[in-house]
Parts: sequence; C-alpha cells; structure tokens
Amino acid sequence: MNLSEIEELLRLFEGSSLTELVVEGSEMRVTFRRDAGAPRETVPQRGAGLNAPPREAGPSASDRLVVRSPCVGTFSSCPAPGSDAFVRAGDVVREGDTLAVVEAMKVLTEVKAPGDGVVEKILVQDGQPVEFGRELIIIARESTLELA
Amino acid sequence: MFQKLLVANRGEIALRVIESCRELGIRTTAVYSEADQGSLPVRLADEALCIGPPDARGSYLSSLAILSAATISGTDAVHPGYGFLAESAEFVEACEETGITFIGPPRGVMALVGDKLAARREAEAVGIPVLPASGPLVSLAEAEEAAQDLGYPLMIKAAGGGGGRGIRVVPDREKLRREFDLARREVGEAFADSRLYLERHIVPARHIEVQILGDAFGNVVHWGERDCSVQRRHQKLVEEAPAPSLDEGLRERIREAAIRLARRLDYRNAGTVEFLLDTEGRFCFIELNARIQVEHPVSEILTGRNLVTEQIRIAAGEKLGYSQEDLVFSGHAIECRLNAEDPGQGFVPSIGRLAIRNLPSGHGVRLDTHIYHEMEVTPWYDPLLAKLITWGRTRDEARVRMAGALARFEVEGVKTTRNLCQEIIASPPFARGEYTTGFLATIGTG
Repeated sequence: MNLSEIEELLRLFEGSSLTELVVEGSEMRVTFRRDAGAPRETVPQRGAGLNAPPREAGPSASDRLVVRSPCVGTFSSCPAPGSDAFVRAGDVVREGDTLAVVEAMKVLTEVKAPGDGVVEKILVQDGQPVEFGRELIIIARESTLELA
Repeated sequence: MFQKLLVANRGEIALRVIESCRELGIRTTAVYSEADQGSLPVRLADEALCIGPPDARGSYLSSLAILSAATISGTDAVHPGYGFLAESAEFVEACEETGITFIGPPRGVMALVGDKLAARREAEAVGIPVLPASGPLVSLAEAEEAAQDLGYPLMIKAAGGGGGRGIRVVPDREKLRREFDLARREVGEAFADSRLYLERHIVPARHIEVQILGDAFGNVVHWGERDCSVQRRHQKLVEEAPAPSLDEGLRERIREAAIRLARRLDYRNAGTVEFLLDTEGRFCFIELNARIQVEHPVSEILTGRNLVTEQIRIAAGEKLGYSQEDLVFSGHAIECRLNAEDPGQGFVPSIGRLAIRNLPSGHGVRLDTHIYHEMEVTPWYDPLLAKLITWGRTRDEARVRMAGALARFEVEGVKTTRNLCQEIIASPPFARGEYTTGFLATIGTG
C-alpha cells in the first residue's frame, strides 16, 4: 500500500458513516478510527456527565497524539496509591510505554503510548471515572519538537 | 427500592426500562457502544456512559465493562432487557458478587433453565408432556443412532442456547449428516455449552407461550398466553393475546402447566414458558425463557399492567401484591415487529439513514420504538426498529386497527417488514385466527 492509496482510503472513510475501518495487507495494517466524540456535537445530549471534557481544539491536531481510555473504569496515573506517577507533563515517552492504568472491577488495563513524543497534558485526575474512548493524555509528537 | 438502575441494553427495550424507572422514581444510567452515541436511551437516561466499541463483544456483551460502569456510576441494580447478557448465568453471578441486583431470576434458576435438557426434565417431573428427544450428543454417529429411535422429521437444538441459534430442521438422515457438524460449529461459536440434542419436529403446530411472574414469597401468577406462530426460521414476526382458536379447557390447562413448572422451580421475576400445540390439541413443553420477551406488550395490554415495573419491584424484594383472581384479561392485542430487513432477499438486514414520513398513533395503538428521523441504522445489532401493538374489545377490532396503523408506519431509507406484516394481517388464515408455524412460509416472499 502506498501513500496515495492510503489517502484514497482516508477520503472514502471520511465520506462514509463508518466509525472504524481496518485494512490489512501483507506488510502493513491501517486503522482509521473516527473521533469517538465527534457525532455528539450534532446531538444534544443530556447526562454523559463523565465524558464531557473541554474539547481542546489544538492548533494542529496532527502534531499531537490523543491517548484514549481503552475501557470504562477508574483512571490512575500511578501503579499503586502513593507511588510515583508513570509519567508527568514534559516527560519523553516511546511507543508502547505505560502512561497510566484504568481499573475496571479490579482488572487493570494499561494505557500505552501510541507513538513517540513528549507528554503535553494529562486531562483527567487520579481516581476519576472515565468512559471508553475518553481522552486521557495528549502527547506532542517528537517530530514537531525543536531539537535542543 | 433501588436508587439508581443501570440499563444494560439498547434500543426500544432500553427506553421501556428508562421510562418504567421514571414511574418508580429510580434514576437511570444508560450504557452504550460507540455506534449508539446519538441514541434515544443515551439522551433520555439521567446519565450515560460509553462502555466500548460497536462490536457488542466489547460493549453490550462485556460483563466487565457493564459492571465497571455500574460501579463508577454508583448504581444498585442492572436491568438486562432481552438478548445480550439477559440469560447469562455467569453475568448474574458476577452481579451477585459485586453486590448489584440483577433484575431477573437468581443464578441457580437461570443456570437450570439455560440447560434445555435439564429444563425438559423438570417439566416432565411435574407431569408436563415434552417432545420426544435424545440426550446430549457429541458426534454425528451418536446423532444418527438417536435419530433412528426417534424417527424423522427432527430438529437439531442447542442444549445451552436460545434465540433460535443452532436450530435446524432435518427431515431425513441425509440432511442430518449435512447439518449436524454445521450446527455444532454455530453453537460452539455462540454458546459456552456446545452440546446438541435432537427433538421431534412437529408440523403443523402452534407456538403458544405463557407469561409468568413470581416473587420471592412463593406467589406465582400468569398473565395469560400469547400465540407466536407467525415465525420464519424460529424468529417471531406477529404475536397476539389471547391465543385465538383455543377452547377454554385447553387454554386453562396450558396456563396451569406453566404455573406448575414455575412453582416447581421456585421461579422468581418474569419468565415465559413456551409450548408447541399440535392439531389434535396436544401440547408439549419446549423451554422456559428467563427474561422479559420482545412480545411482552400484548400481555401488558390484556392485564393493564407494566411488566417492567413488576420485574423491578419483585427484584427489589416487594411482594406481588395480587393473586391470579385479581387479574382480569380484557380484550385482544396484536403485535407486529417492524424490522430493518428485506423480506424479498431472505430477510437480510437492511442498513441506511431513516426518513420518517409518518408514524401510527391514536386510540388502541401503541408504538414501542427507539427510532427518530435521520437515525442511522447500523449493521451491528438486532434489526428491530419498532413494535406496533394494537388492541380492541374483540380480535377483529384489534386486527382492523392494526391494518390502519401499519399503513401509517411510513419509514423510508431501509427495507422493512411492514408490507409483509400487512399481508399477514390481511390474509384469510390470519383473519380467521387459524394459522400454524408453517403459515409465514406461504405468504408472499416470506
């Protein structure tokens, strides 16, 4: 799959009503996933108290990775109460690093960095209940950082 | 009574639960998948939580996600609706362990009636006839041997399943050979228990089911029977109550059999005892569904009571508060299921954006639905769009009202079962109240 094919797929996806599209070839796998919050903007919604975050219109969203909650549960920034946080704003992270955990019925699900970068902001508090798909952490991509 | 209840379902049944909770003064939490973000339950519940992706295995079928949502939202009860986790003994157990009340029968009863072979034995123990059947079968060789004793035609059924899954009619040995392994594979994918068994297939027959309700104090009543013989591939399309063309003696015997089984099981909450009735007036027990059913509104109309609030009251430990003699069945009710399916193409699900031109209303008309104008019908879930129910002082009145109401169900954007329902309602066998489970196959494209 080359870049123009991916662009073509993206156009098709954008024109569709799908929320997720996975295309798998022999060498690569491409996943398009629609912003979990997007359709809500057109639908007046009561309740939804937990997942009504200020939707920050970042200046250039493509420079940032938005890390979302993998499940519904309780957010924790550290492995155990009282211990050091996995990451803090300003920390450099590599793809696959553990950023936080979400606890659901005593089952801990790790929140992993989807790519390399620097933690820009942690959007939720420790112990805060979060929904599936809730924005948790913003990572500024390394490519956009000025080299020291 | 509960303070806050989590609705572990979607669509019209989620709305029914939310509205019933409002009547009881209980706050509600809706849970939803990413595919249902704009849905009415999400808008109408007191609060809503996204619990997973569109694929139900990660959302509506995930007991972990649902109980996690129940915990963080501080709910003290869960209503499962129908389908999804409604008949999962494991889910009931997980609720009990979490200290959250499951609106339905206790774990032991759920596990027992979930095993169709065990349920048959319980029915036999209280003198209710059952269809000739084999024991559990694990191989084709065993099945062929059992079939020889039972005689064809037979049905392959799943010991641990419901909802028509895995059910196959086999008229002869050759078909049995072709279908047995397929059925085993389908059942193995759908249920934890992959045991199959063979049961005699009765045609023509009528599908009659009795709505039962029991509390924790040993009180059991029935809300009358329903005729659900208008089916295709074991999926019901039109239901009515009371069942037409039953003599009063037979009607009483069927209702009484359902009560007998419920008492034997110390049944609690709402359930449905299903029977097959042959043309000679002999009836056999098929299974007990331990949940609210799609077609429950026809029984509500006859009794003038709300089955969902009854379920919640009973789960909260309240007494039934009335006896069988207090229940008066009045008039006649018919329900049509309006599904987003194309009857002309073998009932394949039809997806698209709805354009609602008109919806039925008026005296004697009830529409249970979650649809709204420009709603997107996705391929993820059950294709039910709406349940249209009419009632009348007589069956004819309800039937004529249904014909008028169906004409006003003008929903475009997807193919629906509306026209097929119109054909059924207008057909002479239906008008006479004389139809069997083979009837739908004789109508139009059904």
